Amino acid sequence: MKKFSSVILLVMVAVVLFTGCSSGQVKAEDENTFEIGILQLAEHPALDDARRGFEEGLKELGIEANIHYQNASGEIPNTVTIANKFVSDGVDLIYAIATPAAQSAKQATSDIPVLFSAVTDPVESELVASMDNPGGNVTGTSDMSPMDKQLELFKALDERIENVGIIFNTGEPNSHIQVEFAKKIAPTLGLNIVEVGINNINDIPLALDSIINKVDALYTITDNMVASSISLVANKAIENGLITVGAESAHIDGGILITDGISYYELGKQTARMAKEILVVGKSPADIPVETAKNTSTVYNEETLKLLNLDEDHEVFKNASKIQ
Amino acid sequence: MKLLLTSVEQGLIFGILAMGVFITYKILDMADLSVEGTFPFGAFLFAKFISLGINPILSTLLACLFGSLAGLLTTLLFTQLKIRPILAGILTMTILYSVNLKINGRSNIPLFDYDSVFDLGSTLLVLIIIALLVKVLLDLFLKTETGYLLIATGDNEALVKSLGENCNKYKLIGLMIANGLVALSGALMAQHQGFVDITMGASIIVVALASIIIGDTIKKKSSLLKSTTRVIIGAIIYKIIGGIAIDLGLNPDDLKAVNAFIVIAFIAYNNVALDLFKFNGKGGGVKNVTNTQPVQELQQRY
Amino acid sequence: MLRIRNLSKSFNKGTENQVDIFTNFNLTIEKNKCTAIIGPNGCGKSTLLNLISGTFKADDGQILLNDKDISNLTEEKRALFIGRVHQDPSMGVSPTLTILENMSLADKKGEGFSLRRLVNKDRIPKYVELLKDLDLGLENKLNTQVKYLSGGQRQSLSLLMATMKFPDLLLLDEHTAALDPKTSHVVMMKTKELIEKYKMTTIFISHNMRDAIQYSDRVIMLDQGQVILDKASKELTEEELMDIYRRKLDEHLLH
Repeated sequence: MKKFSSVILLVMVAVVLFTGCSSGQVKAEDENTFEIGILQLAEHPALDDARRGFEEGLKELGIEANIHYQNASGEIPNTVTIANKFVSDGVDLIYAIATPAAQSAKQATSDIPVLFSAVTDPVESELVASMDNPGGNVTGTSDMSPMDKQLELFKALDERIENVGIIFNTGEPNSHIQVEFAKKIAPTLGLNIVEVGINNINDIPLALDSIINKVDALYTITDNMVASSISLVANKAIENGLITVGAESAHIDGGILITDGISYYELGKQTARMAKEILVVGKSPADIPVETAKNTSTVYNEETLKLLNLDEDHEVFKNASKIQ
Repeated sequence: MKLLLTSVEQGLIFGILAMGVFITYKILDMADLSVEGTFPFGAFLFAKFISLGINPILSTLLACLFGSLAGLLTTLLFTQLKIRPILAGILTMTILYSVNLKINGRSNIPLFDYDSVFDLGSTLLVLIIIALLVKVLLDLFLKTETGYLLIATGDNEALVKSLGENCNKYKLIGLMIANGLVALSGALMAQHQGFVDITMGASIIVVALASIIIGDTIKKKSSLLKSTTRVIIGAIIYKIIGGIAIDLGLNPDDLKAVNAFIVIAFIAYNNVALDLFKFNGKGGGVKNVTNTQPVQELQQRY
Repeated sequence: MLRIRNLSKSFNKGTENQVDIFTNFNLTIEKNKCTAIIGPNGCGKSTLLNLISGTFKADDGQILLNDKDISNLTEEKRALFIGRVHQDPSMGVSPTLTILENMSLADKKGEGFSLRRLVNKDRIPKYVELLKDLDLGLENKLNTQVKYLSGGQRQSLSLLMATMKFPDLLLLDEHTAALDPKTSHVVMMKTKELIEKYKMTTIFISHNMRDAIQYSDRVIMLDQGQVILDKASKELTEEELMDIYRRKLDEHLLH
């Protein structure tokens, strides 16, 4: 039996050495084909969109690339391993989706350019020195939603709205950032934020029940846990006749009334353009400012609108696309 | 070869984690599920201390020390409130979640601008030294009177009582040491990856148990002294295999399943090929005795 | 000397399932002698042992060991001067540890446990001497894990460990009941040798009347929490005991 385990160990070491050696320096097939490693934190619609947008954006820009896509299944140690693998493979660029992924990439290399997306506050996460002058080898796109535009929608829809409820996952740094930001700008818009934090998806019904009577409307931020239960949130709001505004169009699909928001897919494409600057034009990430979503679009849910007895001819809904 | 290096480094860090879980799971025969909270607890504590200007070595030590308090909490829950140990561990984990967020007021803390223990030399060397140090100290401890009573508590509480000792005292000691080691592991991981995140503890107990199980398959001599070594090796092997899976570019969707299959494969190997490994065996008879060392040899050994 | 005064113990007190095992029970166990306690199931002999060891707490009454009141001491505290061998061979030892390690633990009883190394090599000759007395060859297997020993070997080791520090009282809780007849005989012989050699005050619970008479100085029979027989062993025969036993059983059946 001892022999068996020794043999296993030997085989494993051999495999490691073999693969290690074979994936030494990745040689480009021709001058213009780039090796790009995509490091995604977890399976998630928004993150998937950011990836797809990036990949398709590269195609549209005519950039030839071998994409090495790795998903960390939500485990940070995996992001470390994957980041180091990309460095080991000598990729030309690392595209990291979500904050911990980007942080692991930054830790793994200070030479290879790193582009991030789906990071709400790159400065607070210390990925960049400042939004305008990242400094270092890391830059990218922030998914900070144009919250001011979104919160403005409340008063535009109903002057009487004052207390706006926000449910968020305490485990997501991006969520804290958004909540704090909302609390900061709310007073200037004549609004008051009522927040309720949860750490488990099963707590959402309870959280909803607890604030439903204290608020006039609900705002759904970019939060993985909220996104997973968006229909629940939407239905509860409709039941209580509350207007809802969301941070992303995916929420509208789930029944939230309206958003003026970003699309992760578009954000991915935007990041692809930044990739071109680095790979083709030869700019350094240090000199490429972090971008937020350039385009926002107003989208509303027609059924929700009807259920809330709102007027479809209202100003807000003009020039907006609708979802059934 | 950076991938192999990273895997070994993570393996050493998780080896320390696994040694902690080994104490509660294997020695005390208790399922302490608080590790998912204690691991990040150590990381968040480290972040707090380092941000206060304390040097990384001391910060890491303090994280380990304060981290052991999680073991105190779990023990209080089941001794004073008579909550079942497994539930007590879960409660501690739940409480630690909020505590972790409170320590620094944030759920994600970058450490890029701070020093770390790895500035002392090569990361691998530092980790080897720390892991070995922990292992040696643990081995020495397990040879002391208190250490043996810890083992006896997990083996047969009636015996401990018959020696005039209180079992809960040793469960407390075991839990505190275990949680201290888990917290230490978390503090080291934070420095290794460059940041602290509230999700750091996810699936960590799987890693610990997998390391212990894989370690069990190696060289089945049952001397407790070598157990600590086996656990560290188990962690390294687990990480190397995981690293290979990533390196082979396996479908990312399958990564978690692959890790689970690794563990299953080792368990199956253990059970089918090597006979069920029970810590409290029911072997019998003079025939099974393999060791007949003369007294003099023994005196030299001890 | 063990003195039990006005001991009362009930189970499920206050409920409809209340069972009064002992009510104002009195008993004196002589020093340096072996006293056997026998009786039908439910007579209270195991309960009595547990009350003495501290596993159960009495509702009322006093237990005095060598004139010291131990009634309010915890089981652990009492264990410092009371040795006990259980029926289950695994209860007196640590199976994962070796014979040497087990004996080292027993050797430290009453001395406090700290961070000193447990195994003291200077004591090994002493352990070997004690193990040799068992005639089981265990002195050559000091480094063997106890889980590899047979039930009889474990029980013998348990006996050694329980008596190593010369407890004021030794409790033998049907300690050969789980062993086969041959091993049981061997262990009983060794038990007798040991308690005679060290003149240990012993209480010996048994289901086996022959053993009770053969290995003790005095036999006490209990029934429903009362002493119904208290005689020196040499004045008794097995037939006599069986007779009383059968009569008691018939009485119970008639109720």
